[in-house]
Amino acid sequence: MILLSLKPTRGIIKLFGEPSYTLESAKLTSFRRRVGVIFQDFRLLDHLSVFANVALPLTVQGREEAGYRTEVMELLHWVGLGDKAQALPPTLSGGEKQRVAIARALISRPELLLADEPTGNVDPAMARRLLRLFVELHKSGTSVIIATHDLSLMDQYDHARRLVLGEGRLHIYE
Amino acid sequence: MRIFTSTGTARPAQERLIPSRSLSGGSLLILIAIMTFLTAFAIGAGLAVRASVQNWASDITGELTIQIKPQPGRDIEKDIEQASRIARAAEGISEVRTLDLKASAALLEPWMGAGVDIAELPIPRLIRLKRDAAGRLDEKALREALVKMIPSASLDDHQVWRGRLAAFGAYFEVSALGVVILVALAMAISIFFAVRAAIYSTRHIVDVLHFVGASDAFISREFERHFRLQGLIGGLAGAASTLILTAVAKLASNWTTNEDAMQAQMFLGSLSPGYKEFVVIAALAVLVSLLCGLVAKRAVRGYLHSIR
Repeated sequence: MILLSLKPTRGIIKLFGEPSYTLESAKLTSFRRRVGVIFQDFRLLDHLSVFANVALPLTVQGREEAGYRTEVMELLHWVGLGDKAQALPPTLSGGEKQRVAIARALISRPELLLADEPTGNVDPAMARRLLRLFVELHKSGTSVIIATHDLSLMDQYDHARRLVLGEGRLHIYE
Repeated sequence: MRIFTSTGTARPAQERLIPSRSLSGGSLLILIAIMTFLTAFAIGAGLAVRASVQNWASDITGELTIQIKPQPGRDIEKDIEQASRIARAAEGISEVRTLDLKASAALLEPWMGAGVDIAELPIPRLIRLKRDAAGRLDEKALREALVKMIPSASLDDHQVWRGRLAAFGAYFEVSALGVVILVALAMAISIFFAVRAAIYSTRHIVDVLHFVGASDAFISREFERHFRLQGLIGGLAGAASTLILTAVAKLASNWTTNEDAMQAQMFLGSLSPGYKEFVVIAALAVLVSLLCGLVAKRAVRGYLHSIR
């Protein structure tokens, strides 16, 4: 619903201060550009290189490659995929794909980051590194929503607000 | 090689947002090529039939025949000579050709067999006349002048035969047009469903583009451009196949001396495409391309609407 792909049957969802269901197509697009998404199944385009996948949110905005090349390469180096920029997703491991998906979600510096099981396929050290990145993003003004089944992950950051779905209700633990 | 998108940005060719060979890309191209080929062939055949019908009609409307029946007490050779003179003198006649005894015998040979001396038989003699292009001939005056001088002469303007031929030609033309319309309709429908199926097989790309912030216009433009190109490649392949096939058929018919083949060519006209046919077939390839782009655009817009 936050991703605007589902409409609420009841109630109102406000996104960046505006009710999401009344938004027009053009405004929906501009809202989506303010949201970064990490899908659990990565949703990478297999025919595009790692570089092009990560740059996709900028490409669809009509930006020139020369303007974002350095930025994309820096982010790829940061997630440990600097040497895989020209590789195609089918040749990557699950963890590598996940890091590409994360880099793609972060490249446009979103105001809101939605992450569905972002550490599910990476080793514990990389998981901690990614979480530190999320915390840094949060400090720089990005709201981060992480969906996870990993309770120990939640325990590592006890200052985060926890929203737990159970028995058809959303329980909020401040 | 770099591709320029409609938004003016450039990216390497290998980084096309939609793969040039999607799951159904190859078969879609083949289907478009085959359907364009069939439609172009139907159009070519339709135009050839139309041209032939018009040729027959203009051949026969351009001709008249003077028939002189032998009569006791008259010299038929003198009558023929006099009729020829009258015809030559008439305004609007460009050619006068008398069928001599040998030519008349050749005309009758299928019915009477070879070696018959037709000079001994009371057979009417014929003079073929050709109207000139300006069409100034006064048929009535010519007929009256002929009958006045030669009572046994008659002038046949092939009115009955012309009427029958016109009806026959119209039937042929309408049938050809019907075939063209049906084949074009089949082509449009099959391309419509094939493009939609191809879009369906690449909807994961639409999903990703949508969620990373591409506008609906951007996505539909990318797909429209991609499928327009596929349509153009398939359409040109189909159109080129038609032109090559007709050129080969033309060459083969030039080499063959087989009587049936020659008669078929006379009957249907030559299928060799001229300037008009070439333009029509090229326009068909462009139409196919536009159709593919339009169907893709509408299919993507529909899909985007459904996931909103």
